[in-house]
Amino acid sequence: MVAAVGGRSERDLVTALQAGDQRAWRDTLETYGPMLIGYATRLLKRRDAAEEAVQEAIVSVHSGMHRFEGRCSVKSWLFRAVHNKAIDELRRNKRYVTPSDNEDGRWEDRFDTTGAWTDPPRPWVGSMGAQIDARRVLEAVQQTLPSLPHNHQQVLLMKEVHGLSSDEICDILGISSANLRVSLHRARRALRQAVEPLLEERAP
Amino acid sequence: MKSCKDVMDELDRYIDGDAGRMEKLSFALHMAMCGPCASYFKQYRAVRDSLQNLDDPALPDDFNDVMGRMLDAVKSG
Repeated sequence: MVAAVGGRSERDLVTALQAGDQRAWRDTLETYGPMLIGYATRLLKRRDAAEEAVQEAIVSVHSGMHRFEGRCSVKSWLFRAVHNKAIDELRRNKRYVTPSDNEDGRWEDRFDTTGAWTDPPRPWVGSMGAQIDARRVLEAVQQTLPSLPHNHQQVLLMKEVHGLSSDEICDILGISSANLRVSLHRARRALRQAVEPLLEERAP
Repeated sequence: MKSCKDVMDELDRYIDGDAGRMEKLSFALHMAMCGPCASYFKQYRAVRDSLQNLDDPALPDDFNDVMGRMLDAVKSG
């Protein structure tokens, strides 16, 4: 479901943007700008770099708008441009973090050949009662998310933080829904793994 | 009978609401009988839920100016 921009249907929006309608561009930026800047800021960790990436992306979307064929939403088109700029920026500065080769292997090692736990999870702080302490988990996630490999960060940010649909994420990343399911699972698992040392109950 | 690893590898089907009725039933049964899996599931879900509660990075104080600059860039671009 695509949110209406300035009360227009998606088709009318595309027509207006392609015609260079300034009001339509303004409405589009007001609708999606905060999300695009938020995403780029989280990924690049610098506000000025994020604004620059978003600005460059918008200029390139504007100049390529005549090529837009409506195969995805304007929102996904814009998001993809910002995502690609941000990843380019990270790669250019050699800040792009890839997952370790053995990520899956470490997970497999937690089970024996029958699929039973050999290294079961230990309880987390505050989990002995009814609920895990959500505030502590949130703090741990805030602390660890920025250090995750970027392919994990990107799907978690799009899906969980910005609430994009699976179809939108597949359009943005150019991947199949099956690939997205695998990526999302690995990313959620990696984040849980990353916060574990901060949250495990210590033996008294 | 699914192993613990099978169930843990399919957690997202329950988290994302893709599991059918029979799957949900067998999942609930496994969780009721297996402490480590129940514990892992609880942690996995708590981490995922927390992402939906992250604070948004504050927008620039001059957000409208930033948008204005972008529009200018678009106009001249």
